[in-house]
Amino acid sequence: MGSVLRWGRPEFGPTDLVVMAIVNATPDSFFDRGRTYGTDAALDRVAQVIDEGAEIVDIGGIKAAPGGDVDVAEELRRVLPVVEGARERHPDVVISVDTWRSEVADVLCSAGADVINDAWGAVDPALAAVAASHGAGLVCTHAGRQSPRTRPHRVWYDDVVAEAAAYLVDLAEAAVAAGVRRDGIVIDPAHDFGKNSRHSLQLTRATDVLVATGWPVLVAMSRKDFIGEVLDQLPDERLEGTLAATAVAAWLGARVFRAHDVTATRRVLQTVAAIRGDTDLALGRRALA
Amino acid sequence: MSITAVAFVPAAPLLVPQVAGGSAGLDQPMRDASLDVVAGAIADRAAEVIVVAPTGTAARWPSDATWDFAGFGVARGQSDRRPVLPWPLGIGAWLLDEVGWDGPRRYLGVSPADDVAAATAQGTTDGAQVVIAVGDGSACRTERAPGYLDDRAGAFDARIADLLARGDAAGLGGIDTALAADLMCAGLPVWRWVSATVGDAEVGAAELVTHVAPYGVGYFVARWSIS
Repeated sequence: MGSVLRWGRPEFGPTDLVVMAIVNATPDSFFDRGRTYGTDAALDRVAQVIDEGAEIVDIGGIKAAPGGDVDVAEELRRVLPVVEGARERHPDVVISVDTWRSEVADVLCSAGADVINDAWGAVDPALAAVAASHGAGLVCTHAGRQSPRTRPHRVWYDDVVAEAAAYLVDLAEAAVAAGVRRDGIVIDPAHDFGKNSRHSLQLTRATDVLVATGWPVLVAMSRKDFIGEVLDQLPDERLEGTLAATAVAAWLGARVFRAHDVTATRRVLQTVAAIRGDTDLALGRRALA
Repeated sequence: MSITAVAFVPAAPLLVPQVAGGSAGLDQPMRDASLDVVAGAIADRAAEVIVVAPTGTAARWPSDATWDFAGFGVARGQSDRRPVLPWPLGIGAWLLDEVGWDGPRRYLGVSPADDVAAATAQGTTDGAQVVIAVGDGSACRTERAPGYLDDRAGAFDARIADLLARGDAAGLGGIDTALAADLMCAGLPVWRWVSATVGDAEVGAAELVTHVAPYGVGYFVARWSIS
């Protein structure tokens, strides 16, 4: 049985399945391609995903793929007003910020962010200390030791599951040593980051191995290339594959699901929880009248 | 020194259909070209085939070593106790298996940090030898490339193509190593080794069979006959 996860005001119990909605304050992310770029558009997206059932919003200002440089000032220009606005309008929602930079995370946590989603895996050694100083949560990520915004190229793992599990446990313990709350840490195998599609499938298949470390597991699989390569489909046509992977990961014990499609993900997780027997029917009428 | 032929093939894992999966057919022309130059190189029944490929550190593997791409997530589906090659050498081994080469093999891993002369001395022995040179050019040809777009990549790869087409062994040894590193060029140590090993011997015939970059990585398939 896992532990309670405390991010912001809510507490997430071991059997809770939680949606972290992606909010891209970017002009060029791979799926939405700028649809939520700009403070107003991003805040509209925040309101929408909360309405759809997201408990967490994950706000990021830099796309993962290579491209034009986005410096600290530009990252903050994109993200800070969104965090401030979200905090003001939605005091109970958990605000996560997707950044690898400690100076950015420090400003955003001061503005009300509850969690730092360190999607590139501790490339900035000061990031955990920032989380600690703010009492914020931290997503510890296995990005295959890639530099931020670089693509994996011919990456080879003798055992990607064992490597990711060992690496993530070390990272989580290092975060604790740096002062991050133990009940604020989750681990993320980072599908596609520093991995080919088969590696991401192996990690999905072995979600239970990561769960067995005792750390809550977050999975970020939404519309990613490994889904696309399974199906030979572009991002717009990856919803069903994403939801299938979501169901499998949930069944195997993942607890937090970073997603573009909140309503669909919420329904999948609700169904998985009911199959597991963790939640009751929302409506119990069939053959019961 | 008794190199009789060199077959230049890409170091792309997707050259192996089991690795490429359902999209293997997309690259069949490059695969066919690679198999063709390897088959042609061994056609005169060489005494030995040397596979040279980029590996993290310089090392040799025995003739009975075999390929395995499990680290890419591909199960070979057979178990034996033969030594397993690093995957770049495994690509050469797979090509030799496909063309039916059952003679002696030697596997030589080279790295950019190698002393070229020492590596060359390690690789060659008496008797007619054929070299399978596994390597490719820049990985920065487009924004979708593994190394993103570098404006220098096109000219860099064009120069490699020209050297291979002309059989210019000395030129292959003179590639700008710093630029090659910037452009994530996997072929550099292999081509340096070929250059040093061929030395002053005359490249009697050279043909660049294929030069393509469908995924932003410069692939070359070429054949040299050494007089």
